Amino acid sequence: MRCQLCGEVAVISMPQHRLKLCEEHFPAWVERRVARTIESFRMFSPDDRLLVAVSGGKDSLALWEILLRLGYQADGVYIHLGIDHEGYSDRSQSYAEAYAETHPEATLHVVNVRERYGRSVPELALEGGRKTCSRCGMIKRYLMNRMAREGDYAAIVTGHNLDDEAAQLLQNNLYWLRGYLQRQAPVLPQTHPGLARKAKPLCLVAERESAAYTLVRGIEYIQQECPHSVGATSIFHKHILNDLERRSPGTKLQFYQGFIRAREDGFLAGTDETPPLEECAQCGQPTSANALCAFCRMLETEEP
Amino acid sequence: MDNNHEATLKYHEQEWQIKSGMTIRHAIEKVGLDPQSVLAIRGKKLINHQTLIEPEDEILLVNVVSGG
Repeated sequence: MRCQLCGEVAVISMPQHRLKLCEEHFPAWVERRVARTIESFRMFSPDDRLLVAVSGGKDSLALWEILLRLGYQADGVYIHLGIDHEGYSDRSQSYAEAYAETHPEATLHVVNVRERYGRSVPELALEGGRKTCSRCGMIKRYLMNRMAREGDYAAIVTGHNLDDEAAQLLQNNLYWLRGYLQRQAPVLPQTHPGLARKAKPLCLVAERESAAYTLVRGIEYIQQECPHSVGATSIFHKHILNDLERRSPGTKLQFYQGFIRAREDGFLAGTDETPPLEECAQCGQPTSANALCAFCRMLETEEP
Repeated sequence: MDNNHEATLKYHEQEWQIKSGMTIRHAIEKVGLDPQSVLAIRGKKLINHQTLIEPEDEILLVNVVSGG
């Protein structure tokens, strides 16, 4: 199998693009694709300071690498969740730090939930009788927004890839989660002075392309899965979509891009269920709740 | 059987001895994995799924499907 651009041995075949590329042309293709995605969705401008949500995994490190190669001012934030199973959080942090050490032009901020708030994310979830993944999502969104605000970053960028987005879209459609459908977008604008813009520059890059990119660029990342994601519905949905993709290459891309176009054409008009945002009485972060935001309520009701 | 014609396929904690001469894709399917869900590495280099497996190759399969 040969690269269609130079005839060298190809490292990857992408049937959905009818494209086979070598180790030189493939990463350059991914970087161009991300650059075009940023531009076409007007995610941010070249002068914006960006905060990359870094997990130590393939997608966030690929994204950080791509943004730096494209010339963006992109710092990272790693949130240590306190997941101790097989040293998961410590190991993830070490991958994020190892990457940052080789890129002195960027800064990695580390927020340790247990050190800052006295309990780990799994402990906070257990105390509140909530599912760990749901609690984890809320805590990460809160801390990332706070970090973006305090550091005066223009946008938070996350490594959500095409497979993540297609699986989320499948889930949102299966249960007609109108509010989630309304908020599922490549870029979420700043709707409140205290709420940072959020963007997903890898939303048109398939998960296997993102993994291949890190491997070809020689980026070390944590391959261990979060122990709490074992049996996750999102993984099940990804396998279903991969079955469809095998039978009909391009299905995931058409599913997601079709949704985005329909969304832009007003398909979801009138379904916005987002209530107006106020400032949390305790921390000042935006919240749709009265008085305290979900994060401050969690800390107040779940004292150690 | 002459073991020199075999290659090793590794995925997480699992390991299989497979015949050389088949493609990576065929080997992945033969051990019951989904070719869409893994990438193949040989000697720290990414290789495509149409690559023919050589005798004594050590091929590492990397999962690409993450949860969360």
